[in-house]
Amino acid sequence: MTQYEFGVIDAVDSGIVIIDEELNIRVWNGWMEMTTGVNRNDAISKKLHEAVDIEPDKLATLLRNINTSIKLDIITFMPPATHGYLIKTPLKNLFSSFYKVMQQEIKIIPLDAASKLISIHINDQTAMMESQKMLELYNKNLEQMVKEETEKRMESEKALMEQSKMALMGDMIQAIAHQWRQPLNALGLYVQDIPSAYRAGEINKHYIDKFKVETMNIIQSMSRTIDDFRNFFSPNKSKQNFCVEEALADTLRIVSVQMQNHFIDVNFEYQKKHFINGYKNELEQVFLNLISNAKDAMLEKNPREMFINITTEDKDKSIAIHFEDNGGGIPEEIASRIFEPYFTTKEQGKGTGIGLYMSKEIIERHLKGRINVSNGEHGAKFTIELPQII
Amino acid sequence: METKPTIKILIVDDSISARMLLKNAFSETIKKYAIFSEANDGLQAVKIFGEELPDIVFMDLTMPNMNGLDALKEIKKISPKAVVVMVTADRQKETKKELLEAGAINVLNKPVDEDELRDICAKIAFGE
Amino acid sequence: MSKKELLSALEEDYLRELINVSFGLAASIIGDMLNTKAQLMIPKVGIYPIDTLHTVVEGYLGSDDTMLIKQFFQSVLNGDAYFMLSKEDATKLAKLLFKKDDVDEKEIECIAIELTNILTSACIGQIAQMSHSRTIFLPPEIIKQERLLSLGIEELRNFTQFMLVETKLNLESEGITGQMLILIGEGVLSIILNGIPKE
Repeated sequence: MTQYEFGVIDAVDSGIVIIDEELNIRVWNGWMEMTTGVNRNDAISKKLHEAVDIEPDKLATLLRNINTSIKLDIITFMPPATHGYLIKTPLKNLFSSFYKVMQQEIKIIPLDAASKLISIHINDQTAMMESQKMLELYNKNLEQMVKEETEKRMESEKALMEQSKMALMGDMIQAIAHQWRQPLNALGLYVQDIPSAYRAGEINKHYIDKFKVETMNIIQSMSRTIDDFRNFFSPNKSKQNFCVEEALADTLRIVSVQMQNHFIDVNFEYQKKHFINGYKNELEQVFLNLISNAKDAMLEKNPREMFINITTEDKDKSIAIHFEDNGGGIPEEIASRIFEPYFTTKEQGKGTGIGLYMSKEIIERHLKGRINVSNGEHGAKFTIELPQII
Repeated sequence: METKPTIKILIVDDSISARMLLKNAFSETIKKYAIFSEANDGLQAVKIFGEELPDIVFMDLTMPNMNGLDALKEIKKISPKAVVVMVTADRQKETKKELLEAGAINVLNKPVDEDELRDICAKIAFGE
Repeated sequence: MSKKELLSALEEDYLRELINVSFGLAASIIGDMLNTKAQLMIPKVGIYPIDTLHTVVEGYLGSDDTMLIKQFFQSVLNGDAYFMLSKEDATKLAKLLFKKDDVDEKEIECIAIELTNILTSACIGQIAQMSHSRTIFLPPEIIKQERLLSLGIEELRNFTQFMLVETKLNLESEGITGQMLILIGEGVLSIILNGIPKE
């Protein structure tokens, strides 16, 4: 080797050791000197494992690789991921959180078939291994964080659902109260009439029969109310194909008394029936939500005439349902936020029902549809789009 | 009319490419004077050997139906003086020993070295 | 069944012979290492279009238990080599190599890496030699199955085909099976097949 060649080998930033078949050291470069503390003069002519300490299993692997390299004339490797190092070297300069000794990549290169010289390259891979470990750690942490966030989200959604259910029950009780007010009054009148009828001597078979028939009618209608509401509010066990317009009609029946009491006109028009697949009463609850919101908006604004127009529109693969009210519309800043959970423009405790957030979840996730809001001529316009079954 | 001297060479290997590669590895001289026949496996090799009595057989070791070792033994039964050179990818010493003991005159490793092949042919031609 | 590239019988025979020859030397090295008689059986070799990689690989990577060792190489032939070996077989080898019954994870990895290095060099080296070019190999690396399975169109855009070599290593006491996948790019196959001897 010329002076020039040796100069290059000496200056290289990794270890180069050239040995012969019997492990006698022929070349020992500068990096080896610095790293092992063994002088070139001391190393040359010694056998590799005599010059430096090499653990027996690593030495055995090295020998095996040398044998393979020579016989097959190929480069063999001892990667740090599997072996860690060949020559144990405590870390001096680099601070590592994971490693105490240098991580080394070893390459065994057959130099010359005739003289059976082998070149061993030792590369300090500690920094590389360190970053890999860091990356693994971050990934693991990230995975953990994602897992935790997802669990939290599911928890809060559950809580939201619970809250909605409670609110829903509240709604149901209120609605029943609404529906029952008039029939209860009527029943009350019949009952209160009895003492005076008795005093007037009118209690006879005819009176009793009439009393029974009239009051039973009222009681039956009250019972039907319970059934209506129970059907409306108890969850469907499974998905079904159902008619959107019928679902709308069912919902309107529930709220009809309320609407009448508030003098709100509900106009529902449709050309033909459309069918979709899903949980019928979930959709009905969304309808209820939209109608309630419209009612609240209009009561607040209090225009002379209050109406909700509901129309269905065939859009080939889907059906669109439009809810238009004349509550004045929704201001720009609020419109973008109304579908957020917990967002409400009402005072504490006033808003009830499932809320627009849940409605959006139901439409998008369960029914695979879309819901959006825009401002129409007189007020807000909510549009629900759902994939239909032809 | 001069008839040129010929040497009958039987090449046995289940791989067409291997047979072709071996044929191409012979020196020009040999190619000029050789008549090649080929066999696909040990069984065919024994059959053709019996029919043509080639001067030299070059035979692969691992073949279907009958492998090279068994074919070697069979050929030796037909003609104890048969000249058979085994050509194999298997480089283990035990294999070589086994083949030589069974009567192979020599064992060549694949890929066949042209010089080595030429030496062997020379030795056979001049008797050894 | 994945559609193999249509190679003529001669081309397929040639590829098989090529690898068979290099396996001969590899087997003797492995036999030496493990101190036992070793034979690498004539491999089954096939060339497949690159877009069938997923299907073919999934077939072999069935269980979690299959080790996957990747080795990149560079020469006039560029490619990625992936060797598939069952953990069970790797353990058998480790026990033979280290001459003990309880082998640890690192020892199993050790033999898997050495075996891959030998086989990749055997498969590629012979071919590269014929095209008179030097080949540079990178250190073999044990990787998770997902990394191979998740290779998509983008990552595979440099490759047009892959070679699948199924090999069986017969040792005195054991039989080991493994599969080598070699991803190759445009033109590499024709370079390889250029070596087919002409009449």
